[in-house]
Formats: sequence, structure tokens, C-alpha cells
Amino acid sequence: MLSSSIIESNLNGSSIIFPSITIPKGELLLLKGKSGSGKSTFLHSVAGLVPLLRGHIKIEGHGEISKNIVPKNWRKNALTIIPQRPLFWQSLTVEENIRLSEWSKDIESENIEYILEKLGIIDLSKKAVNKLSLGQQQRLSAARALISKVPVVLADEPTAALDEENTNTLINLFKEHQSETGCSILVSSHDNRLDSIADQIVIL
Amino acid sequence: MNSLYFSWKAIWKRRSSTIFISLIWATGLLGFASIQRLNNGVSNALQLQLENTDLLLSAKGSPTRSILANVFHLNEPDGNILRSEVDELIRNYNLQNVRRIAYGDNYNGFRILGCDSATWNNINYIEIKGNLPQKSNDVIIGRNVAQKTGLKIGERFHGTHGLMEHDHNHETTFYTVSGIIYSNAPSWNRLIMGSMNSVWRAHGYSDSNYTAVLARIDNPLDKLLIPKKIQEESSIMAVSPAFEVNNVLNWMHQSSKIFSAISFLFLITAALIMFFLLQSHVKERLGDYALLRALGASWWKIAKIVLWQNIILGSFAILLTYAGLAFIWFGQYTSITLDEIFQKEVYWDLSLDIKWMFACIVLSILTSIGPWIWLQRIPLHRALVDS
Repeated sequence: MLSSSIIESNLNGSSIIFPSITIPKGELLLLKGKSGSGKSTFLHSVAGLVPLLRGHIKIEGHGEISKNIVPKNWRKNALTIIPQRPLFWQSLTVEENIRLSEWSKDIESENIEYILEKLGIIDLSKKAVNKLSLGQQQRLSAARALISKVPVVLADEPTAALDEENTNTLINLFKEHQSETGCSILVSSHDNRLDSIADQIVIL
Repeated sequence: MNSLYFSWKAIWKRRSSTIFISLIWATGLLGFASIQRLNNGVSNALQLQLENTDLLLSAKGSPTRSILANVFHLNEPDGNILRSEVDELIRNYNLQNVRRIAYGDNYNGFRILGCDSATWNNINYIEIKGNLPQKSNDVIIGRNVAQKTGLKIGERFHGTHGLMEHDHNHETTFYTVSGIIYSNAPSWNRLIMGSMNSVWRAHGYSDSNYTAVLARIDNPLDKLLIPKKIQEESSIMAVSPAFEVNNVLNWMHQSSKIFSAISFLFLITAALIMFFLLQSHVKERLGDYALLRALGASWWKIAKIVLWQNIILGSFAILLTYAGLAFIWFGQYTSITLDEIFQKEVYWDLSLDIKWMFACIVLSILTSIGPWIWLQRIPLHRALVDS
């Protein structure tokens, strides 16, 4: 379970205040809002990438972030993140980028092929990541996050570059992952197609 | 897959800058390594040539010229010394391993040296093809003579009077090549060596004297006293080649220190360039490292990637240095002068390189410290949003 009090995040000297949220196990919270409303900053605050001026963020069993203090191994064991822009090591292949994520988290996944197949990029696994289209990169970014079985998944605009079909595939994969691991998912998005799977919607 | 693998992939992606950085390193290292080899090669060659030679007796003249002519065979001797006078001196003093030599004619500019049996025994050779002279007109030739003149075992030739290449021929006196030697004391490789009698016979025994006598003195005090006494008591010049050569070696060591200092500056410059290139490399890859941090990699894991990258660069520099050394080594076959300076046993003695290899790896580690500090300050949020 992920819970946060009202928090004030310190973004390059200016502060942004966010409402409190609670995402029970196995639920998905959709964070909506205009561009510049701070959706990415909130997700990054939860990930411990943006320092807090006040408030706390807690993940059950993994401690809590309070001000600048982020518990050890927070991003390694407590959560995984799908960044807004698909970021990869351009020198590596699709598969190697997945392995890089495994190496970062000290895990060995058994479901890599299954996830890549579900997302329709299994045939690209030996391909250099810079040869992929934006949509393929976005799917790879999701695959990289979903290979780990951490209690919280943070997804920043995960469907921005996806068509209808791939958005549905990703939604199904989120649901499947949630039922398998019981994780809490926090998604920031403008995409109304995600409203149907959200257990809660928070508008910033 | 581990940090080494990911480092290698990152380096491979930037091949041109990798080669550039490694080349700068290798230039400094090659300077170090080749000067060290030059120093050791020359010292080794001189020491081998000076083995068992604490005393040189020759005609009065310049001591340096006499050493160059009679020990290193690089110059013309000042003249001959009377056999009777020398033999008396040898009887009077406690000298060991006495070697008598007599300069004869030349063949294509290479000297023919008359040697006694003690001289034969004193030649340091690594390899001999054929045999040492068995008959009175047999000669053995050095490797460089064989290479330059094309003389082969069993071939006959006649000498030319004097030391110049085109002086008049002694067509009645033929020499036969009985063997070819390759010595690590370079002057032997440039000589044609026969018996003392063959040299005297070429001149009709008209000048059957010695050009020089070389000897060993075991007693350290005698090494100082005997040359002085001989100088005072006879018309023969007596010098201690080791003393003179040590002065040359000391001068050489001083010069090589200057070259080493220049190479060291190269190395420091290379390290600084590497440091700044790595800084910009880390800045360039800020998004990559921020991603790893966002994925949960510890700072130490990322630091290991940077460290491996630097160690790989340092190792490349070491490999390139050896490639440079191999290039010099094979290049020397086109130049006899280099061949005589860079000696096999010294040149490929890799234990000499441990110090600079160690220094190279330490520098690789040290140059990682800057990027490590930089990495700790990565603004992760900005890097993830802006990359």
C-alpha cells in the first residue's frame, strides 16, 4: 500500500503542494491534470527523486520518505518507474536494456519473454534500442518496469505514444500484473482511456 | 551481465573518443617505456662489452679514442704496441684473462680483427652458425657483416688494406668464412675475426705487433694502481675502460632523466585530458546514469561502471603502448643502429614495465573520482524529464 500525507515538494527552489493520497494493495490511482500541474513532480516525489519540504510518503513494509531522507533501497525494492520519456541506454539492445534493469535492482526475472511477447516486442529483443519507434520504446519502457515484483508501480504518461490496440494491451498487462503481485499503481496521464481501469482518480 | 559488460558496451559505443583518450595515454607511456629500454639496452651492451676488461693497453694517444677503437671497435686505433714490451708487462703484473688483438685489413668497410684464443673465449655470442675458425685463414663474421655483405659460410674473400672501404686489395690473401655469430654485445656483430697469424700474414709479417691488449684485474686496489704504474714505467698507454665508460653511463642516465620527465609530463597531461573528457562524457550520459538511479541502482554500482570504463581505457593504453614497442622492435630491422641499442633480453623484460603499468591503473582509478563526485550530484528529476 502507498500512502502520502499532504506534501510540499521542493522543485529547484520553488515549492508545490500536493494532496494526500492512499492506494491500497491491488488498486490503481489515476492522476490527472493540465500540463504543468505537477503530475510528474508528484510521481518523482514518491520515487524520492524530488526532495520534500514537508509531509511524508509511505510504502508499507519499506519505510517512509520524510523531507530529504529517502529510505535505503527505496527505488530498488519498493517501487519501479515508467518515465514520461522512454529512456534507455542507446548502446544496448532491447534485451540488454531489460537486463540492465535487472542488474540495477539485483533481480532475475522469469517472465521477461512473456511480457515482451504480450507487448508485441519479443521479435525486437536483439535489436538496438535506437532502432525502435517511439511506440515500441514506450512498450519496452513498460516491460522494463513490469519485470520486477515491487509493491508500487509509478507510470508517467505510459500511453502517450501508443495507439488504441497497444493502449489496451498495456491496460490488460497492468491488470494482470496487479492481480499477480497485488501491487499499487500510480499513473499520471491525460488519457481518458485509462479512466475505466482506475479505482481512484485525483485531479491536480 | 555485470558492470564490466555494461561499461564495455558504453565504451564501444564511443569508439573514436576511446581510441583518442587511449592514444594520448599510450604516447606518454611509450615515451617512458622506450627510454627505459634505451637506457637498459645501452648499459647492458656496454657492460657486456666491458666484461673482463679492467685494463686496456694500447699505443699512446687519446684514452677515449683507444677505448672506442679497441673495446667497442668504433674508431681507428692510434697505432700498434711492441709485442716484446707488452709481453714483459704481462709477466710483471698480476693480470688475468689477457687478450691480444691486432687490427688487419677491412672488407667492404668491416674490420678484420686478429684475435688470440683468449679473445675467442671472451666473445659473448647468443648464436653461432658454422664453426669458430679451425684453419689459419678461417674467419668468423658478425651478423651485421653477413647481412650487409651477403657473405655466407664457406665463401672466400680478400681484405682491403687499411680501414677504408675502397683501399687497395691484398689479393693474394684470401679469407674463408667458417661461421657467423650473433652477439648481444653489438661490436662483435660488426667484426670479421680471424687468427692473429692470418692478419700478420696479410702484411707479410712486416708488422707483427699487437694493436691492443685487454685484461682483467681481480684485486680492486690493483685496478686503480696498475694502469698508473704502467703509464709511468713504459711507453704504452694503460687505461681503465670501466672508469671511462661509467662516466658516459652517468651522463646518459642524466639525459634519460630529462626524457623521462618529459614523458611524465605527457602522462600527466594525458591524465588531465582524460579527466576532463570523462567529466564531459559523464555529463553527456547524465540521462543514462539518472535512469540507473531511477531504476534503483546504488551509487556504488554506477561508480563501478565509471571505474571499469577508466580501467578499460587504461588497459587499452597499455596495449597500445606494447603495440608501439612492438612497432619499434620490428622497425629496428630496417636500422642496424637501433638493433644494437634495443637488446632482446632487455627489451622484452616485462618486469621493467610493472611500475608504469601500475601507475596507469592507479591514474585510471584516480580520474574516476571526479565523475564519482559529479554522479552523486545528478539532478535526477531534471535528467529524467529533460533527457
